Amino acid sequence: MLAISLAGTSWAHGMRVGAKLAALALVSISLFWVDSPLLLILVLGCVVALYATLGAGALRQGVILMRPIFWVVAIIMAFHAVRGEFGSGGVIILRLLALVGLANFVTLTSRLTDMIDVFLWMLTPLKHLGVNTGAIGLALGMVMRFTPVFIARAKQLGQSWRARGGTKISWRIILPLFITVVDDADHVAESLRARGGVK
Amino acid sequence: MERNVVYIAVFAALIAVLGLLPKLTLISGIPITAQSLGIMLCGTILGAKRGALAVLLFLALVALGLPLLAGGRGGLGVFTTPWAGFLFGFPVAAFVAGLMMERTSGMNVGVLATIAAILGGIVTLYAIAIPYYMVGADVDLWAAMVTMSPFMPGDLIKTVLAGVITGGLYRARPDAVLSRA
Repeated sequence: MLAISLAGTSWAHGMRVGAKLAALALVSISLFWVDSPLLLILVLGCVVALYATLGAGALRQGVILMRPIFWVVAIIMAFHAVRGEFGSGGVIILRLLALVGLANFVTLTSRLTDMIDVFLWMLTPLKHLGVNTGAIGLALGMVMRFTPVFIARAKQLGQSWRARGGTKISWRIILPLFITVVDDADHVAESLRARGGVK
Repeated sequence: MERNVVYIAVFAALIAVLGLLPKLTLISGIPITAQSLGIMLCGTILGAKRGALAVLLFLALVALGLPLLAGGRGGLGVFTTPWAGFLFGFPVAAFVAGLMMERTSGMNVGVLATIAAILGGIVTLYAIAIPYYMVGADVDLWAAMVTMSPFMPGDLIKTVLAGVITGGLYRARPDAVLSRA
């Protein structure tokens, strides 16, 4: 399964994931108190500059990740424009672009395995509350393994549906997909138990 | 214990699968992505706690950088938009739908699941997503409702599908519908 992150050895890849996440959280929270358009343009410029230090490929990837945001921006601008509030609409959009850009930058420059390690580390205090954090790590791995398997199975069910005269993939494949999946789940649970269970 | 963990994991995977499939065509020919159907089904099939945990597990993997949201989106950036109220509302939606399934009995499971899906996947979800969008995009209630209205008919259809699928699974594998166990 492919993660979004960019392979690379840049300065940003070298930074500790925990440090990047802490910085992101700090900047994101601070930005909510910034209402000056000039300052926000400056911040957005810095975010673009961050991408630029990684090269053209990173800039292109950044824009691709931003694409779904552009129509959100357009809709927000339209509603603010109707009320003639170009200024406040502009501030919201500048802040949004900076926040999303920065968050995506952290995702792009952090390996999935490192992110998972930090995530599991962040969960360790839950152990004291009686939460089985080992089970969470196991479940993360299972989702990553099962997702491509189930996608392949759904496509297969879609093909059988077409072979029997259906046209496009219909919602009717969802129930058979779920039945095969819960059967698998029961088998996996049994074999986990047979191998010593979830500890 | 093992069964709970595995069910939570496979349902988190199913949310991803429903979002990544090519758009499904409904009876009327409207194409929709089925990701929010996956959220409803987590609640109606797994029940409140396990359903919410499956959704949280799915969201954790999205945040960690896997492109599992409909349209292949993912990463930390998706949580910082004004639309993220839907993402934060997803686990609550599954919880409410699951709670309704656990606390009621006697009625047909499919009908009950449809009502639970409406209560969780529409009422609860929009009760979180609309105020979140109003604050995030700095718009009034009317503007937020107009912006989201194109999704509501599709969501209503999905609640009916959630009922049909939950009812069907209950007939085929009654033990798998943990919310009724």
